[in-house]
Amino acid sequence: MSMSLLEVKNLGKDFGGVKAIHNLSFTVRPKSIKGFIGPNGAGKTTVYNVISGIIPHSSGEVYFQGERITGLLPYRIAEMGLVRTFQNIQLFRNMTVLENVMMGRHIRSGSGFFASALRFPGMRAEEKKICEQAMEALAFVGLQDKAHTAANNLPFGHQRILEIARALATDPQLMLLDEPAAGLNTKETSQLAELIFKIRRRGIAMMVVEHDMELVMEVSDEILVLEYGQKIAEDIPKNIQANPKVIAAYLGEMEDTKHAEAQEY
Amino acid sequence: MSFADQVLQYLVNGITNGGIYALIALGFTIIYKSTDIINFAQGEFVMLGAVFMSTFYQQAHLNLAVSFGLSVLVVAIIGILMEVLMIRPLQDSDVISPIIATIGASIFLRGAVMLIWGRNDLFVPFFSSGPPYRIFSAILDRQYVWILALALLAMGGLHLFYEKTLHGKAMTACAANKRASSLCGINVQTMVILSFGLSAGLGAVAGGALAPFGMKYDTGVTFGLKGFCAAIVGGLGNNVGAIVGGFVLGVVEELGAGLISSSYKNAISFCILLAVLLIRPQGILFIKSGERV
Amino acid sequence: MISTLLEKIKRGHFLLFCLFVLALPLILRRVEAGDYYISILVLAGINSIVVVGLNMLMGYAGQISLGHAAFFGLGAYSSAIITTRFGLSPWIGFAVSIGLNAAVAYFLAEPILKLKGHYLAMATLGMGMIFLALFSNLPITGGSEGIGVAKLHILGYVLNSRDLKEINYYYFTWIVALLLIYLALNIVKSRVGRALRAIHSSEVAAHSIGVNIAQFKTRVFILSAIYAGIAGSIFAHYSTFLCPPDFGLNYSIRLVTMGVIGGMSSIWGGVLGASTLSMLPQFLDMFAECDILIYGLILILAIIFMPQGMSQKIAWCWEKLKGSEQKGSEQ
Repeated sequence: MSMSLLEVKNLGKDFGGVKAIHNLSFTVRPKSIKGFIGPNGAGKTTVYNVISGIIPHSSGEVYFQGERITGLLPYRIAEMGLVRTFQNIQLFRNMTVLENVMMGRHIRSGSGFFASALRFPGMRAEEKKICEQAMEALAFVGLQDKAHTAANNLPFGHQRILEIARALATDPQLMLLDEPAAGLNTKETSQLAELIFKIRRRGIAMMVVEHDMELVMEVSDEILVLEYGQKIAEDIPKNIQANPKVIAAYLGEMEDTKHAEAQEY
Repeated sequence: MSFADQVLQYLVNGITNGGIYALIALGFTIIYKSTDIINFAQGEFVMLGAVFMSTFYQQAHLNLAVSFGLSVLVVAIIGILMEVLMIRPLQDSDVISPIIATIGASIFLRGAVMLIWGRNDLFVPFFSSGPPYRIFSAILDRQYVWILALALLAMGGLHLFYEKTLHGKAMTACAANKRASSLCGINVQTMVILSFGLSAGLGAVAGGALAPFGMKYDTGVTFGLKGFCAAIVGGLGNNVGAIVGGFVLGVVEELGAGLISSSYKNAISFCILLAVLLIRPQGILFIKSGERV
Repeated sequence: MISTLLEKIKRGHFLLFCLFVLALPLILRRVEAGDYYISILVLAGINSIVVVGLNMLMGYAGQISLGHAAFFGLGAYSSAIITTRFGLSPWIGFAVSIGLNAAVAYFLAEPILKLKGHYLAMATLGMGMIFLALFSNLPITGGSEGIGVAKLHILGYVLNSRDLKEINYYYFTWIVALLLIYLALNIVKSRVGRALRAIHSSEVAAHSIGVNIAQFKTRVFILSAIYAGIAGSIFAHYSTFLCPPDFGLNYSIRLVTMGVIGGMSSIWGGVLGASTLSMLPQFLDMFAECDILIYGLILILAIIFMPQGMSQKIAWCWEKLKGSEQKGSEQ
């Protein structure tokens, strides 16, 4: 079945005795947007970490464009067209905005130590191209004016956008976004929604982990819900909103929070 | 001397050296647990212990026991000063900076001792006179018995401190989880100071015990290096591991030097260090625990 | 007007530095004891080569090595053994030095570079101590008795001649150094340099964006070993006699100090730190017995107050100068 871009089959991940992911199966179709929600600690980032190769899986398989990616190193998976952003923003803080995005072109270029040391003409042409393509990605997300600012000096909202620009520069087929709206205000969030649609129009599929329910409902074609490492629902947004299991999972979380607050007084 | 006799002698020597390495390794571990720093000046604490003990005995004409105790105290204070002046300013920087700072401290302390005390060995008399003991065919010098006894005493004292006193328990808590400890009202800064003082003191105990053999400004370097080999072997951040690592290193080193080659004696510790780092960096005593997301 | 001049200087700074380096001994020769100063600069050049390599590893890729004296020594002893024990040409010695360092670094890199932080520091330290033991005990190196090294000659011209030795070696060392500095500058300004900085900043992000971090770490480690090896070979022919203590922990630490003081994340910082610290012993000689103490103090103060090194402070002043110029012209 090569209809799906990403296919996760019976994925499991154990940490010592803890089953962080249990028998998880889902697919992501090309050019679609899959929302990925669940209460805190459900294991969503762990799922991303396993898919992107940062941590090894314990059982099951993951297929990307029909090829098995479980067990591959992260850089190989990125080469194949699957990239991600990070919940706690992992920018390259010792570089400028432009240089961060130029890192996105790393896998689409090839000059090594030798060519770089001797500045072969091929390498110089490639550098120019990398710079141009990075500027394009920056323009796509609207950050082109900040190209030479230190990445560390960007306001928080722009840092998240920069991470997305960097991922875009790799010419991916699938982007895994991890809480891209966390810490953004309303205006920034709606700009983010527009950007997500813009990315989709380019033909790139996305998974979006988010806690901002309005955003998730707005952008997703389909939503996957995780609780305690297990899938409890996978459906169109309208149905997810009405799904009793989902409501219970989130209500439970709300209950816990209310309970904790009550105990303080 | 039969082969078995030789091996026995190596074992005896190895265990006594192991006591010293264990003390130094403990010093590394204590600081590492509270600050995540490797203190490259640990060997210098050993050297300072001997140097001060010698000074108190020869210059101030105090008796051996008082000289010993006083030197431990003085070196502990030097350790605390080192934390306050050098480590604390760097607590928010990257991994490399504190390492370099302690290397700088090591060089500085050596330079200071060379300047003040000169380049010659400093001595104290052996703690007790008399012929060496015999364990079957092996010879055990009386001073080595003192070394082992003092080492075991220090380790025992440390154990009591951690188990029975409030400060000790607080330090254990800090080592396990700094944030939770500070939330419980434990003053983390005080604990860090305490750990430096304790480490330096332990080093000085080792130094005092070794003082009769003679120490000069750069004798501490090799001890420090071997001590942290031992700490890694046992498992960095693990007190029991430091002790076990110390004895293991002492014995293996002595056996290796005796049975294989004595000119490569120093290299043996480092080969063991590399082997542990490459095969099992957590050390031989590390117990695998489950990680949480 | 001054700011445009500064910009021109910045763009041509490598060439300016080359001119400065090449002209310096001609000036020094006219000074009393000029040869002595030139000899210090030879050592500065040798150290610069090692530290530039080390900075690529430590400052750019963010790894740490407390054992680089091992590679320096490996290079030196290769040249010594090839020329003295086998009687072959010094150029074969250079080739062996480079090849051997590359090979050793290649084999050590894979297991060692998996370690991080102080574990990596200790592994490299252990590596350095083991090599020191080998230098001190293997019969082929002459052990603690030392080993002689044949004189270096280029197309028949012997560099070690009595009168011109210092200036010959000065030019040889610094021409090689300038070449290696040029290559290093090119590397750090390229895709490779970016990847190294990315690894330093966030390994997980670098890996996830497609950088093969194991391969890059290995390659920069090998490169830094080759730089150290070349410097070692030059040192061997210059000093004509090797003994093990020169290749131990003290030298490894001095190398790291040079990197720190000059600025680890900068190639120029490496040159600056190496040159400054190579000239320091001459000043410290005045303080006689205080030299070790002052050395330690410098290291401590540098890492606390100037962790990015002198090169960053200079760059900062540079920016301030440019900035105030711009402000001036706006008024």
